Amino acid sequence: MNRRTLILAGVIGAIGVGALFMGCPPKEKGAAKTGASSAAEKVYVAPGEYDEFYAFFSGGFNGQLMVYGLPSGRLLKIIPVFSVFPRNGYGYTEETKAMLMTSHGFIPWDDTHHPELSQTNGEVDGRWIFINANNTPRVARIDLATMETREIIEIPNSAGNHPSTFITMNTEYVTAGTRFSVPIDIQTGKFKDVPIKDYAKEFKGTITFIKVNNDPNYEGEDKMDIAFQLLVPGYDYDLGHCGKGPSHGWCFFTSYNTEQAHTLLEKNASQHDKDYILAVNWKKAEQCLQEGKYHEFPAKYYHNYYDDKKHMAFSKVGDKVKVILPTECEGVAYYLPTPKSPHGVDVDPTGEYIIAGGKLSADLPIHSFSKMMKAIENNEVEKVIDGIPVLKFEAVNHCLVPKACIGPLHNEFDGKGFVYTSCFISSEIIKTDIEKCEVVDRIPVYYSVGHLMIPGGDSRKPFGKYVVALNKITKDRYLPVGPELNQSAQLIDITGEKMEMLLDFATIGEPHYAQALPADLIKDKVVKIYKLEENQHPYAVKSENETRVERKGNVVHVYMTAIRSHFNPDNIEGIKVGDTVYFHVTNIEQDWDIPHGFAIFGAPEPNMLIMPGQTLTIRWVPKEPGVYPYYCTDFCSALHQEMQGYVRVSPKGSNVPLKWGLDKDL
Amino acid sequence: MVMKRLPMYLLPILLVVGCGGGKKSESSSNTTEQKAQQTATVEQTQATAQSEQVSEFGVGPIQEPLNLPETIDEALAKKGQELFDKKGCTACHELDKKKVGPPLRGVTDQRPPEWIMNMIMNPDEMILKDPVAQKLLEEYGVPMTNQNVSKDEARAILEFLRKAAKEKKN
Ligand code: HEC
Ligand SMILES: [Cu+2]
Repeated sequence: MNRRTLILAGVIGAIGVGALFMGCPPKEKGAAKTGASSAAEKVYVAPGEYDEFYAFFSGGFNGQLMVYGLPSGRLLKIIPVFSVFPRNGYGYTEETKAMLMTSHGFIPWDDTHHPELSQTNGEVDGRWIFINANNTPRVARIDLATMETREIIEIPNSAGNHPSTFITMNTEYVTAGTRFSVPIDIQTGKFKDVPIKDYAKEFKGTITFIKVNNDPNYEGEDKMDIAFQLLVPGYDYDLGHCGKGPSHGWCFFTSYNTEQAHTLLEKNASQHDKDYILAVNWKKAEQCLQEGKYHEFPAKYYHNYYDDKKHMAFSKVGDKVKVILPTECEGVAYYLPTPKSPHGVDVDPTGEYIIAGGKLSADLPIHSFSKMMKAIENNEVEKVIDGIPVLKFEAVNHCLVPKACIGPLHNEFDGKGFVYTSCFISSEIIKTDIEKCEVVDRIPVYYSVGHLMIPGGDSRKPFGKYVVALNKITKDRYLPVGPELNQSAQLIDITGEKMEMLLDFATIGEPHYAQALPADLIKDKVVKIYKLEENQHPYAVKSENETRVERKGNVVHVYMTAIRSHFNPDNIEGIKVGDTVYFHVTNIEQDWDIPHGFAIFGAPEPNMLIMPGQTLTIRWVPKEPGVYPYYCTDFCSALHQEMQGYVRVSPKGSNVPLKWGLDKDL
Repeated sequence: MVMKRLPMYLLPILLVVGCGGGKKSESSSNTTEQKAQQTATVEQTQATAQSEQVSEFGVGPIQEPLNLPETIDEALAKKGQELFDKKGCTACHELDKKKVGPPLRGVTDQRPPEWIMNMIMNPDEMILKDPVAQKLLEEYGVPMTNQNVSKDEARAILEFLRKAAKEKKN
């Protein structure tokens, strides 16, 4: 989310809520003075003990996904997704470059926002976690057994992929959509070259449904595929969540900028009292697809997936998508009027309540799914926009929680009838009784909370226990470290009647949303090594007897092994200036947590970190004659410092023969 | 940097007040598995300090005598030879020459077969607890790696090593 659009000078005054929520939070920081020692006990995970929850925080503009333990707030891992990662070579090694290919070429970065754990029957099932790329629209799937990115699919006809990734109850679909509408050229599948002032006429939004292959017997990692796109009016589609239980079959997306402004949006897109939640009936869309009520648009998009037997990523390129027009598929979508420039939209565990965060309104709008269905049945329609009926506000609204807080953004659920809402402007989390439409508790957070997260808090069965505030502004929370600061998260106990602040911890990049699940659900399934005998990498060597160097013209392949604590070969001669050298290094260890690194002098690529049983490749083009060292970058044993080698590079055309070896003179 | 600090003697008192008693015991109750792991770590540390009593079979899954026949199972030995290569042993061992680890021809004459299988399957613990393995570590300086070898695989490799020993004698 964009904090600038929120800090509107007039907003606070206009809403006119009392001084209660205004201005700075109270002076004393952090855990309530009274409960410091009991708070410490609640988050203390003794040395050698494990956390109760795995939590997955998006990395925002670092394009990664962070794994934290809760309640300790320990950082357990950084998973590179859409950004290259010098730490292990992701995006630099020959095997992983394909993961970051798009129709716009190799893209080494993106902006991740909303991780979503896979679900079965609306419950978190511990198989995968999805996450979106906002800038060059893509969706990734990360396997929870290896905690590595296994698949990335590009979304055509889209920009600013923000209402993503949200899933349906059985992970049938993952959503994507346009926060930035685009001038789609139906003939070419590219963006049209048009005057920006023609926005209202030329720009369209799309809501994309990605089908997920849930067949447990399907071993391929290419599990996602674009099922269809719904062409919608050119508003800004912001966030989403799909129905569950009775509302299974529907997904809901907020929109703002129904004014269709194309400049100074913070003013021009804040005119309407209400914008819309778009309700999409995807079961209806499936029916329309079957009846042939769709168009095929040309569209170039990459689909990349990583095969962890071949230890290599592959790309397929799609060339068309099915597009459904609401005018031709009656009942596929409705608009629910919602105040005001709503941000998050969240469905409660029962599937009945659809709660938005009307970020410029102090009232929290709670819609009712059953009322919506009745309104559709009774045709309580205000008007129709491009084939999408706008239902009457009163006909779908359960209630507006009056003066809930200032700047409500997102909601999560505890499964006990309460909704927890983050309030950006008043820097607090509030707890509301959904049925009674009544705020029952509130707690200040530091500062300016964006998303909030309860483990399983957007599923049918929340695990509860904690809510995490993902704060946007850190300022004085930690020791000062210059102008650029890490963002801060706060852990809050929600087991009691009153929320209790437990812990602050710093997070990396800008975590937007997060998800969490009990460690017991997956910790015993997590993979420790890759089995060497299953390694099908075409350049793998599984024993030192197979190590060798092969020349093909001016391309040289080095088939190398790494084990504590030597490379084989560790002396290589006969490389010439003008050669392209590929070091294919197989780590032949079969023990947990013994990676070896590989780096070579002067290479523009960073090191690669090779896991036990894995093969990775770095490309090296030496520019000048000389002898160049390479070495293991990961302290692997007492003799790690001895884990080194030399490559001799001779001038172009010299007759130094190609030789290699270990423990002998060449 | 001069700062107003609390006098040192006040610290213990503050700590006692701050920590609010020994309530922790309940919440630190662990799964048995974790407990076992922790105990193992503790034992390991002690073992390095004072060499523990271990059987002549060493430490590992083989604690019953194997009672091997004199004759060599040729098919099994052949499988063992392949595994010796596939499981990464050749990265550190040759039969007749020191590499990273000791030459292995004749090792079956020097050590009980049970000990050899434990060394193959459980080297990390062996070098911490078994006096013979500890001596070898002292000599070679590099700890042998755990290559995740199963019992059946270790048995096949043992047969290969037994065959290799016989070949030398002939
Ligand atoms: C990383 C190098 C390395 C690898 C790989 C390795 N070993 Fe070893 N091995 C050693 C070293 C070094 C020793 C001596 C003990 C020590 O220092 O840990 C040893 C000791 C042994 C011994 C005992 C030798 C004696 O004299 O008693 C046997 C048997 C053995 N290894 C078998 C194997 C087998 C079978 C494999 C393959 C599954 C293997 N080793 C893999 C390094 C290695
Ligand atoms: Cu190393």
